[in-house]
Amino acid sequence: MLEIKNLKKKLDNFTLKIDNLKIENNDYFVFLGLSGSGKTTLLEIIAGFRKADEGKLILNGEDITKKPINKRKIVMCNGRYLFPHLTVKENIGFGIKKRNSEKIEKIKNTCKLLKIEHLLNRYPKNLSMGEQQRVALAMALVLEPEIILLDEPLNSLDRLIHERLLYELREIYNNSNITFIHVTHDFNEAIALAKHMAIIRNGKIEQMGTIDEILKKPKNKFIAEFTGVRNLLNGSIREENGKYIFSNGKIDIHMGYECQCGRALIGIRPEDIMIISHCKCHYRNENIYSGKIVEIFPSSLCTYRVILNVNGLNLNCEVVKCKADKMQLKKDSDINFCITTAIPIKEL
Amino acid sequence: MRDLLKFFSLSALSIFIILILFIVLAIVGKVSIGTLQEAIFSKEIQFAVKLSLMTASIATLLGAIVGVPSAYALTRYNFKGKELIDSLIDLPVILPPLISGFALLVFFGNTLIGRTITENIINVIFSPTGIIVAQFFVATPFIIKTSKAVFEGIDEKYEYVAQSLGMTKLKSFFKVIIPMAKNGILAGMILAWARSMGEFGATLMLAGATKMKTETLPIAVFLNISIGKLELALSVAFIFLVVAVLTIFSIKTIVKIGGGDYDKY
Repeated sequence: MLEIKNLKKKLDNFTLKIDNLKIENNDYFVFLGLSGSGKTTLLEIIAGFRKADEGKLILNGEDITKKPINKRKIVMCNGRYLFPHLTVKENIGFGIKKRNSEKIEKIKNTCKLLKIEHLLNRYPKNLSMGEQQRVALAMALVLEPEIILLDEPLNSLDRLIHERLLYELREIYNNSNITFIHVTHDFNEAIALAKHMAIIRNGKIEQMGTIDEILKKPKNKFIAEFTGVRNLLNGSIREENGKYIFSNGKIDIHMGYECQCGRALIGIRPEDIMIISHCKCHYRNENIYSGKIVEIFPSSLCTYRVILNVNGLNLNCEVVKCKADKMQLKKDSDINFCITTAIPIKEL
Repeated sequence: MRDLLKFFSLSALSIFIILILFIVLAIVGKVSIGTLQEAIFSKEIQFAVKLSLMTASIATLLGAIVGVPSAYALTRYNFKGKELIDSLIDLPVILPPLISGFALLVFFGNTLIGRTITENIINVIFSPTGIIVAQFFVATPFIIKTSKAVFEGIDEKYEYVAQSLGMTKLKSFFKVIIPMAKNGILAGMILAWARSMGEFGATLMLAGATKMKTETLPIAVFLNISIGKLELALSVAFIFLVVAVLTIFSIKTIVKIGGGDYDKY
């Protein structure tokens, strides 16, 4: 287990401060944050590339705060830093201290796992970004370290390679006993890979937990927005016959679970708003409304973003393309929709 | 004129190349085959060629041994007086070689440390060792400056990644940084070697101009001019030119072959 205790690092106008963080062995931990939030600095402190001003790093009970980089059993994996004067084979074998035959065998097996056998004699400058990341991963995996650190490994890859490498990374993690600590600004990447994650803002961890915990209970407005909540509503929650209802004067939403009454900020994800057919009675949802489509446009290869208006309130909704086509959704048409989940963000 | 920048830059280049060619031709045109033969087979000139090649190469190697780590220290570490040290390194380049040589002479002849070295360890004054010391003094800054520029261009993270893969700091320096900086360091060494080959003022002051003892090629040119053997001096200058061009060309070719594919990264 990696423990980070009262860590502090001051850089020009910015301070990274991590009070207490525990990363279990064999976890896939993702640090998620915007550029400049301090996530890479934290990763570099864990790797030993930077020294913290205060605090301790403890790996499996041993204090590694002042341990040299090469004694930490923590490997930084970054495709941007392959050694340009070495071939792929030499890069992968760079850290192996075993006999030659064992070394070759190890390189061979790892390359097979990452599907890079055909690249062994090439130099890094002749590799694509995706291939460079794979080689970097191979360099780390052959050493079987305690922890592999990944600094935005899927950044600037084209969509297809991004998806493929994401899937491979998950496969590798599932088949290994290594702890992965991954830094990214891409929430979708974090969802696909993380067992646990921490969202960093301005050098501080805003929220930490499993994906489910963060998705269901975002601690504040920033996390809600960062994790995909596009509809934020200010209003108040009241109790009526054991039911908790949010209201902001334009819309009433049954929360479906116990909430604290009073002023509240709630969030609704675009995918939690469902456009339904004209007949309301098919749905046993209390949150069914009638509204108008204000705007509709493609938001990805297979989805449309639909902006709905109900009583003057605009709501963002995501609709699968085939469904939207089937329902012939278009601007200014009247529709019915239901809200499946609304999450309380904070009581005001 | 559609491309003014191209016109001006190519014109500037042409003017300078023409100047170099005129100077080379001035030497080549005045050299007769007879005096050239005389110079090539002269024991004195053969000695001067050998001495120049040997002293310049030793001075360059010593310069690299001292200069490359110095450049690394200046690039990677922060210490008090770093700026001042960085400026001091330029001193041997800025100072006229004659003054550098005179300062070296005073140091080795008139100070306690210098005299102790000269009397007990190695005789520097008016000896071939003096030539190496003088050349080392004036040429090492070239290695430091070029190596520093290359080290500055190499992201420190390469070293960290190497250490993260299990290398010690020293091993990461030799296995990653030196190979990555190889071409830049060699470029600095070529400059230092060329500077050493042409070194005259400092050598004259520290090692003297003794025939067949401290007679490098520039000293040979000087000695022949001073006794009025102008044609022989021109032939020596021509030999100097050929040796220098051939050596630099050979080194560049070797570096190109050795550099392989990766050096275009």
